[in-house]
Amino acid sequence: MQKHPNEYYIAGIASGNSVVLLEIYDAFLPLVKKFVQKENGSITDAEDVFNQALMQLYARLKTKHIDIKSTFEGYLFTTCKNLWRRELNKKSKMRVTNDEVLEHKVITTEDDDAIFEEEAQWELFEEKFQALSDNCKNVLKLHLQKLSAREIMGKLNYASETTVRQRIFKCKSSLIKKIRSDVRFKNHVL
Amino acid sequence: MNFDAETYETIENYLTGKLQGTPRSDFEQRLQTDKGLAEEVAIHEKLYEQMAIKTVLASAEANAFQDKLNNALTQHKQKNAQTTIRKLNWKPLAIAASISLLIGFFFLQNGSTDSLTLYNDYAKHETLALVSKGAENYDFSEITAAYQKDQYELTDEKIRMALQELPQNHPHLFSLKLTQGICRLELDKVDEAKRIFQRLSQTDHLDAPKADWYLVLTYLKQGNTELAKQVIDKAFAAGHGYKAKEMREIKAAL
Repeated sequence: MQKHPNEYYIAGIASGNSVVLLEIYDAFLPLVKKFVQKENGSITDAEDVFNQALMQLYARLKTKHIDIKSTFEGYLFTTCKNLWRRELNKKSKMRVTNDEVLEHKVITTEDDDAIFEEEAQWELFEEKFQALSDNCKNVLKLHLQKLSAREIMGKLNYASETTVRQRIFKCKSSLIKKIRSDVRFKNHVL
Repeated sequence: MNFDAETYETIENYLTGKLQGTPRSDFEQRLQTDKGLAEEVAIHEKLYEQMAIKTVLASAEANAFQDKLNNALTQHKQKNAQTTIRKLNWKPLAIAASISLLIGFFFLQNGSTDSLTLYNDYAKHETLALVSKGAENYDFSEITAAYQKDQYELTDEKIRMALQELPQNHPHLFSLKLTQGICRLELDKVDEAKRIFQRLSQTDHLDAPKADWYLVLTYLKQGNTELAKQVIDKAFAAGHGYKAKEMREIKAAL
């Protein structure tokens, strides 16, 4: 039985199939180039965004199941579109405004909303994580990678497992407090 | 909301599957009633998810994937460059062919109508009438004024602002989004317009047939006569009366 196009592309990305990857570039990059150029970007910007979107999709596929409700093309295009708009915002040193959030919500499909939410969550968590001290970042990184307190103690030269646990608790509380106190939390996480 | 170290440990054990049996079902029951705890679990879950993605991105496997992407891009560019060269070589012939097509078009014009001409003939938009409704008592006069003057960019912007302020169940939401679609269509943002009309067409709103009509116009503007015909057929099958006469005429012309 022939695979659904979505499954075909998804399987190709997950396995890193070079033939499928080339097909994806041939079929979908031109549309992204057109969009990015129309939105004040260059061809190189479009290629970067396209590349980044595929990398993101690859990492997500490796960690969880992705349910594409529309088409692969639509999913990829929306991811690129969001990435480019975020890039533009960064360039102009502007935060994503509610205005833009709304524009996406108005013009997009079910899939697009999910992608948008996912990216907004990523941005919020990443920003708050980076705002932690280096020590906290290291401890949490290992903890969230599911290393035991004993392993973390060994890696980071802590005196005891209890100290590691206390440190994890303190850092995690601090991170969650930062996330919760951001206005984006209610909009994108809950 | 503050939780102690013990609760954090329980959350971690719950998410990693270490919490089993009665303690697990007790915890799940607590999640049903304790909103704050449920939120905390959701955040923890996201943190694990995010870290997993970061770990993948930093892996050697991801580096290898990145190399494959770079190779694909290089090959894609090479292919495109070759196509451009081929296109340039055929340019004189292509010009000749398009001239003969144009000539043919003049002679055959009575038999088949160009879809853009059809679009121009039928894209006469309705007047927008929005009266302040609901508790918000929103003033729509600027939107209607801009729309009446065919100031589509301004109308689009004003609608965007209105949608930001109005609740999701506001009675004019459908009309506003439909008008936004029309503005985008007029501003040649055809793909965006299409998405808006497609979405509105799928709703069970009384005016959903209007979205079908604009979807037909969008496809005509795009030159996609097949899809325009499909939407017309779908509207007829659903027994919609909106612009039925025009739809019949368009179908006959196509």
